[in-house]
Amino acid sequence: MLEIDWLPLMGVLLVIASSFTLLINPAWQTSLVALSIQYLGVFILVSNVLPLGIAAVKLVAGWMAGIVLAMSISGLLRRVAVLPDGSAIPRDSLGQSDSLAGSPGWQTRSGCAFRLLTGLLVGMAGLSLAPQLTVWVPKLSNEQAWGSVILLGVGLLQLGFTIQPLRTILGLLTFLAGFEIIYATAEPSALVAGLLAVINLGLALAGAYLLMVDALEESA
Amino acid sequence: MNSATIWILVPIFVGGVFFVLQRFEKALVLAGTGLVVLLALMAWFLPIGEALPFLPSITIQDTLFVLGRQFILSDTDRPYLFLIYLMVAIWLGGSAAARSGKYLVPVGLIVSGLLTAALAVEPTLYAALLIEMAALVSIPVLAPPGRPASRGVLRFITFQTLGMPFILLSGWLLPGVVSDPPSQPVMTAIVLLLLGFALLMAIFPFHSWLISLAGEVNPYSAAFIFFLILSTVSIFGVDFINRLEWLRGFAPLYSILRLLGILMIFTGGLWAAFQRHLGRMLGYAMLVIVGSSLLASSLGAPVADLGANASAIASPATGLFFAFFLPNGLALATWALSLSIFRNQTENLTYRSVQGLAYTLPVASAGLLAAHFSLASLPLLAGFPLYSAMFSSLSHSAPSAVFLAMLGVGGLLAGALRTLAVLITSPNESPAWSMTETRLQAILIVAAIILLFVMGLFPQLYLPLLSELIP
Repeated sequence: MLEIDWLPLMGVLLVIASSFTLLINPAWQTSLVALSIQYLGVFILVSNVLPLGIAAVKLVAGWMAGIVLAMSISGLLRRVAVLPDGSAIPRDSLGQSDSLAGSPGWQTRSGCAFRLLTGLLVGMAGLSLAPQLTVWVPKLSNEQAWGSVILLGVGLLQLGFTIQPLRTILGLLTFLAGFEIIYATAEPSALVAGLLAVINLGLALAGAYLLMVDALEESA
Repeated sequence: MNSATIWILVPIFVGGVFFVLQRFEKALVLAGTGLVVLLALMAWFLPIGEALPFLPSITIQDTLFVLGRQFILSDTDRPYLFLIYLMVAIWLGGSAAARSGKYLVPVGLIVSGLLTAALAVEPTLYAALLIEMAALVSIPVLAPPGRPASRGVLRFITFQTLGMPFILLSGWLLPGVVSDPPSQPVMTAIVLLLLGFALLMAIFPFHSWLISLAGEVNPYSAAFIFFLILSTVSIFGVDFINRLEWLRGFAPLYSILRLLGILMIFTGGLWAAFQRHLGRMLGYAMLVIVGSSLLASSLGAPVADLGANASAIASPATGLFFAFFLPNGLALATWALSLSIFRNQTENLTYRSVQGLAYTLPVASAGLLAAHFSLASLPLLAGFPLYSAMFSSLSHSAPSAVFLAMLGVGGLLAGALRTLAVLITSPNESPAWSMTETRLQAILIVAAIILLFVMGLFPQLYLPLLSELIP
């Protein structure tokens, strides 16, 4: 009887669901929850090639990146919710503003449908390329290849759709997560895992800084 | 004592401390510049791996172990260290005059430390991770507080982050020995490697972030970060090629480098000729600098390319690649400093806004033009001996390439002449001369102009030193 290893398949499903949520959903709260689920999927996919401790570093770094972005956005919303003249802006309208949602048109239904369709196209192209990837990186399993190409493709797609800091950083984190799955099988080293975790956190910090930069005190 | 501690950890640590002490901006510029000058002098005078001449009991060790990997800065790396820290000293020294913000000195120190670590780390492919970290650390300089983040900064992070995985993967895929002709996986790895370097170094067609960055952010900060990353990535690239013997003798790689170099010089120069924004003009000049670096590195092609033994490398020509660093760095710093002075006095850097500025900012205008003409290879200035040596070397193997490259440099020269015309054409009928630069700005720019002329008139003073950097 054919034995199916359900855990890697679950990882792939988590990665697909979360990356598509990141691509389609304009709400920043949902996007950050999806980001943390995405890192759970990455953790499951790399846990059979990396020692559990090092695989957990990726999970924790990803979650920390999400927390950094969430704290920055909530801080930004607190700052701008009250205008200098004392009047208040409804938080919901700020949270759905273009700077957090993506770019003009990101929130419309047709925009969501378009992104979903292009995401499906990129996903299908990626899945057809995945077997070739396992030839280049022989230790890579089919599930890891599927997960990584989906993340690489959807990450690049997000980068192509936006010019806003939050969405750009989310796209870069998604792209890097896809690369990390491939590279974990190629180079299972503690230093590389540590440096990649620092880069994930650095990207989140850069994103948090860029989101708030115009509200910060002006330099000399 | 350890070389990595001195040239990597000390600047990173001091840069971190300086972040906390931002309010003492002028003191930080002095202290930061003093530190990098000291590091450059130490690289020049102190031997690594041998007892110090004046303190025989102390030896600077060349290896630092971190998590099972090594950071090695040996005695042969001292010229690189000297060159890198000398250039950082030039840029940091001018930062107060450029009013480039309180973050430049701390970030400059941390970025220098990280990029030095990138050159020292073993295995070398980990360098891509450290270069990415340096790019992330430089964000506060490129996007200062109080202004919205520009599109150029986002593109900069995006391209630097996308470049890193390509280099890491290619470093893992490229084998130590290959069959002749190379197999398809090896060719794939070479393509990945070229893509990675193209993304990091703003090589055509991935150059849009550079133009965008130069046009939108403080020109001094943008040029500083770009030049530091370009220098390190170029040295890393040459080192990467030299480490794999088969790759060093792989003639098609040099043909690709030459093609890309010529393409970048030609297109950069051509766009510069029609540009009407001085910040973007600087961006196109930077494209020409990248192109000249690529072209100079392609001249280290196997002599087989010229019909002789395939394993030999034409070292004198490769030395030209290193010789470009100092004159180009000085010209770029002078240009960027002058533009920053312009930017503090005008709304933006379009031709319309800077028209007639030579009457109120004569020293900055002279600095900008001297630097522009030097990068456009005008005789008597620092760029001329190098471009003429490069074109002369290239004319033996690819005369048509020389023609295209000269057209590109001609375009840059045309851009300089247009800028000259705009700066001296005042909207007023009888403009009055005045000098509104500060004393520090005037002294630094005049010193830089004199140096550009000295380097152009007496290249024999410094070129042998720089060209000997080739391992």
